[in-house]
Amino acid sequence: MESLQKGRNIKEILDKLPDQIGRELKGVPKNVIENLEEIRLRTGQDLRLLSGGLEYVLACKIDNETLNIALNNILNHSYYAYEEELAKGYITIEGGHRIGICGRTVVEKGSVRLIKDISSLNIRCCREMKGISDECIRYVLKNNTEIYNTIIVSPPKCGKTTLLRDLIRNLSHRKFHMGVCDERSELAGMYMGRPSFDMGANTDILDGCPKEQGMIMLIRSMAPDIIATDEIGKKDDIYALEAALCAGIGIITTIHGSSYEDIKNSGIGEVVARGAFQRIIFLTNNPKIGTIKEVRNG
Amino acid sequence: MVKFILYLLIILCCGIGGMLKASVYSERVTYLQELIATFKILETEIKFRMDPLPESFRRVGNYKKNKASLLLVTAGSMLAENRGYSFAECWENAVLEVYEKTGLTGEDICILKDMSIELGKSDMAGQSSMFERVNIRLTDQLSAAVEDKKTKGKMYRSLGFAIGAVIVILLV
Repeated sequence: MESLQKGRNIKEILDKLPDQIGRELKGVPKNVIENLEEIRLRTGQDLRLLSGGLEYVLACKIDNETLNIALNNILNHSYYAYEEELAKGYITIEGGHRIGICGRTVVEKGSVRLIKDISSLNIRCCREMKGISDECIRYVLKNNTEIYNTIIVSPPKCGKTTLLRDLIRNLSHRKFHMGVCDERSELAGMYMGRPSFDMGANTDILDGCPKEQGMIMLIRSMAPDIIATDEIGKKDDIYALEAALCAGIGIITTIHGSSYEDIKNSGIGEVVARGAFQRIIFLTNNPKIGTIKEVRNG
Repeated sequence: MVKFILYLLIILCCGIGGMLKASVYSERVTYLQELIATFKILETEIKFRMDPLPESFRRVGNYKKNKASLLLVTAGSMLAENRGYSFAECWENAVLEVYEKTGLTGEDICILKDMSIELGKSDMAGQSSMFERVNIRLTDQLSAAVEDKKTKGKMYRSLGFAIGAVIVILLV
């Protein structure tokens, strides 16, 4: 683990937070900031940090104004630019950090159109941990030119995205042409056409594109050896998965769940049941985030 | 001979004064035309690229070198520096920094400042209708400015030389 390079860049987050919160965070011990996982802002509540699995409560009451300033900064004063993401309840900022938003929803024709009267923000700090995939790459590699189609399974906050990001970098360095469909801009943290993380020299990133379309686009346009995508699980994803599999392209992806049954019951259950994924890696956060609980053949 | 040169200088100075006053009206027309054109480009850029405002300001501001572009560049850098100011404060400060003490009237500046109420604060449809309203208001101002340029501009140019001539006649 000593070889792990922890790359933390929470400057993007600090730049977005109001001065009052920035001042509070300056007083927080360095190790807490370095291991920061979440910053939670809730109206009428104290500022809360989650770091290294522990929760820290700072004596800094969050009011509506503070929350609105934070949200405006996060949105770059440009609501229209994040319209679709806001309707989904989260946005991703430069650096790949995802910010969850809660408030009052406005529903139109059965779909959430916007969230107003914001009451809480959950800032999830994205992390790059180079070398984290070194241990499990042997489960993924079939030989020097092929991989096993792999799905990483875990409940939230167990390090799926972090592991997948490092697997992409690792495989890219091994000369595999990687096509990344980064629907939520979390994997590469693309900003102004540049990834925020080391994704490897052989990686093409399609940013912000729905997976079911993006995977097909990558197959047609970039001729990748492997397609990597995060948080698969919708029925719509099946067609794209099958197209990739038929084209002989390797797949590495992640899905929420904690058991084989969970993924069999998901939207892509039938593909999993057919054995499309030859490797299924289960992660846990016990004793720490990113621990491999089990590796099973599909 | 000296007297003649002096009379000529008086007429010339008064004429230049008149022309300077008249140039304010031409300046207003130019600035309003630039603003209308630049906001059209900004609207297209926002609709097409969906970039956040600071980035759109930077891009569109660098397309041309004029006052309207300078407004966007100034507002964009104020937002990027994010010195604890709100968007409205940044935008209004940029408007004043670029257009205060220029040919634009208080009403023109008020239209520009009012943009901060809606700019970036709604969905794309809301932004489009905001740009449409601004365009209509600025076009109205432009029509008035063109009229002013024709009438008042011409008047001040002639008036400058006329006052110079009157002074010379009185001196003679």
